[in-house]
Amino acid sequence: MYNSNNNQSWKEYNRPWYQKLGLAIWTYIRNVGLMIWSVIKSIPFKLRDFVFAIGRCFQGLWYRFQKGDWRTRMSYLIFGFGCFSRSPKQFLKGFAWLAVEALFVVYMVFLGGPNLAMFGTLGTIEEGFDEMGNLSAGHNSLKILIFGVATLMLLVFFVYMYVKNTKVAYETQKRVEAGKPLSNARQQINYALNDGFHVTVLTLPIIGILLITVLPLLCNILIAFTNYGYSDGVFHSPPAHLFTWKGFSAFSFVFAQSYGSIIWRVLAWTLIWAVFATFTNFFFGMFLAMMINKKSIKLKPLWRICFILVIAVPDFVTLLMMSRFFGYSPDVNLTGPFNLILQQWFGIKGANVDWFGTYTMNDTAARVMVIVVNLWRGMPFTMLATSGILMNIPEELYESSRIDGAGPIRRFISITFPYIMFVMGPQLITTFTGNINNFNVIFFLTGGGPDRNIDGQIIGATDLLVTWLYSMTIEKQFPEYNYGAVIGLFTFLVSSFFALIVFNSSKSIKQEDTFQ
Amino acid sequence: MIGLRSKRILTDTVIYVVLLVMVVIWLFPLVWMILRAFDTQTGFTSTTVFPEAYTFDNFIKLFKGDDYESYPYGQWLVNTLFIAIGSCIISTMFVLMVSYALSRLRFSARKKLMNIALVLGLFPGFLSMVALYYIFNQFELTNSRVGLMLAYSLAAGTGYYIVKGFFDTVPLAIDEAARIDGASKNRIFWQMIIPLSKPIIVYTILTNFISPWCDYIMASVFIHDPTKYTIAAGIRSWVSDREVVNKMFTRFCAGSVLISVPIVILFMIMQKFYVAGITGGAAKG
Repeated sequence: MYNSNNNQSWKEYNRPWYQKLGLAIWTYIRNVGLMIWSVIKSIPFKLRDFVFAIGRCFQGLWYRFQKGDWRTRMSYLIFGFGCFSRSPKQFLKGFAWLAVEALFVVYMVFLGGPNLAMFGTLGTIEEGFDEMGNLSAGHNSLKILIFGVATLMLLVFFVYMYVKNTKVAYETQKRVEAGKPLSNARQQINYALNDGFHVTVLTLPIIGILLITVLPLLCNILIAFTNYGYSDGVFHSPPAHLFTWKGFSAFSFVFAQSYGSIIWRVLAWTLIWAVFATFTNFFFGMFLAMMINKKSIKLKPLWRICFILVIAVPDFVTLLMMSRFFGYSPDVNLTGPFNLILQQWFGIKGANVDWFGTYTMNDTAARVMVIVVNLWRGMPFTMLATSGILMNIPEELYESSRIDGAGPIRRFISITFPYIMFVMGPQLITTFTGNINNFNVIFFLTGGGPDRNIDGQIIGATDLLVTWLYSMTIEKQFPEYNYGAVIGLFTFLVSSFFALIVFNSSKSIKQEDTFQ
Repeated sequence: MIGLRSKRILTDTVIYVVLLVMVVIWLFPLVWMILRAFDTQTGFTSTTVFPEAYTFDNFIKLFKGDDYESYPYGQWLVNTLFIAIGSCIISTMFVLMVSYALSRLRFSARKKLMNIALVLGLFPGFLSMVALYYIFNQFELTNSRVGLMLAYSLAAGTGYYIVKGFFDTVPLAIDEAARIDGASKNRIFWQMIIPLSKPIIVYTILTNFISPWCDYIMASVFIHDPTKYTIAAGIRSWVSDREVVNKMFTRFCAGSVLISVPIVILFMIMQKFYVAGITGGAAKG
């Protein structure tokens, strides 16, 4: 629907470039707006479907309860009863269901229930001393939060299993009534390796993802709505102190109060950095690949390997080394190797530049240098990828263009560049969002510095949102977890705004069956 | 004709010169680091670009020396190897399982799972670090090598894109033929898909093996005990502040060179799959 408009605006070739660019940006923002609007519009329908699904669920539960015999009805209390009570063949299946229920009950009694009960307050008793003067443990808000979320997740899973269990019981009953034989253990295992194979292979990886990624992520999103960390002059952190729900106060602190003047600076630099880091790497890498791939150039693999060496070394090694290579010392004779080269090999007397601006507080130098070193580190990646693409461009295209009298520049603009963009386009946007979250380059080169004090808050000139988040939650003596969580959410919104382009345009996601 | 030819020779010469200059610029810092690894001085500051005298001392001191207790490089090497092998096995299994399910099996939640994985990938990794640390702490898995190994590998399932892209290119007709012959989906996975996908499996194994060697943040947050450090967390402490740098810099270079050699070799094997991975998925579109 929006694409047709998009094409029309691009057909107006005779506009100047800046108008085209403006138009493209405007079209994109409008498209994203339309997309978000269409998502919002669909929410009532989704909600309605959801309510209906729950309704159908209860209807099914009631229906199966009415139609079921006593064994099926017992399954509403004891999982798997409808299976193992009917035939020894179904012992494996039935007791597997029973085990699920037993595990859940044990978890709820010992961990889930108590923590979920305090989820609304995140604990009421602070650590303190009793009348005897002994240290008495209080509630641990973080534990309550994490186990509360975990319990809610398990509860959803349990309800799903509950409904499924009644279905299984009822189906077994119907099979018996119809006089069909019940499956035995071997057939059940066969099912797990065949029609149910997706469940078999996905269970462990999904449990891993839920445990390592989803659960911590949900907890940290919720932390944004608490006062966990150093706020209002108290370090609200377990075990010594409780923390509790504070609504949107952390958001107003980050966007309006103390951090309000900083966050937009950091965001602006993050975006500038991402644009430069992505496009310098892309264009220089592309030209490098074109030079190496030129037909008459010899020793192609050798040239390639020289550049690949740089990216083959672990990046913390190369980046830490580069931060020293461009080192600086107030003493001219003991300065870093690059300054020494300028002095000794190029004869520039007294050359002593503070490349990363740490001493001289030179923001611009630091910002330019991180982009330059990133080019050194990242360009070979593009070179590697574009080399592969260049070799795939059909030679006929070039030959026919030569016959038509096209020069090298024309050939580049009309053939090579569109071809590369076609393949690398989605990749380019992924790289862009990757650069928004590019922690390593900044952290190892400058550590976010040169640091400045703005309105009482320390912030570095090269700090990205992610390195700022790191210093706020991990490096600080009294970490501010709640503000960190807000910034993490903000970073997510920024990267997803750009990632929407990939969702929109990536055909490889939609046409995955092309080659099957 | 002569004009054209001399023009080509001219452009080629220019390209050769540009390439040569670039190679020098690109490799110079690495060469400098390698030479500093053999320096007789131990500190960072020096009055010359290259060392004045060379020795193997820095390498020897990595494994034995007066201060081995406080900087046990050999121990870090063993730790990292253990973590890398363990997490490589778990990650590879998970990635292959998820990729197979999403590529070959059709079930109702399939599209939803893929969208959720895409969204999860957009959150900055250590947004969840604080809560993750606490969860692991509950099971006494912080400050532990096994814990770090699990933290690296358990969520590997989200990184299925490249492998799934490869599985997508294996013709479905193979599956169908095997199905007709009565093979189960489990058997198709092990006996048809896996042998046909050797290159991408090598790629998965290598990437998963290399990543723990290169990770710093997770290791530094999870491990407090210096004897349990991985290489990255360990040798970073040698250049972290001014005083240590002036004592340990050349040993940092030696330690870096030592782990870089195997990683570089593995990367060289891996890079052709890397190219296929980037261009493969999109080239279809």
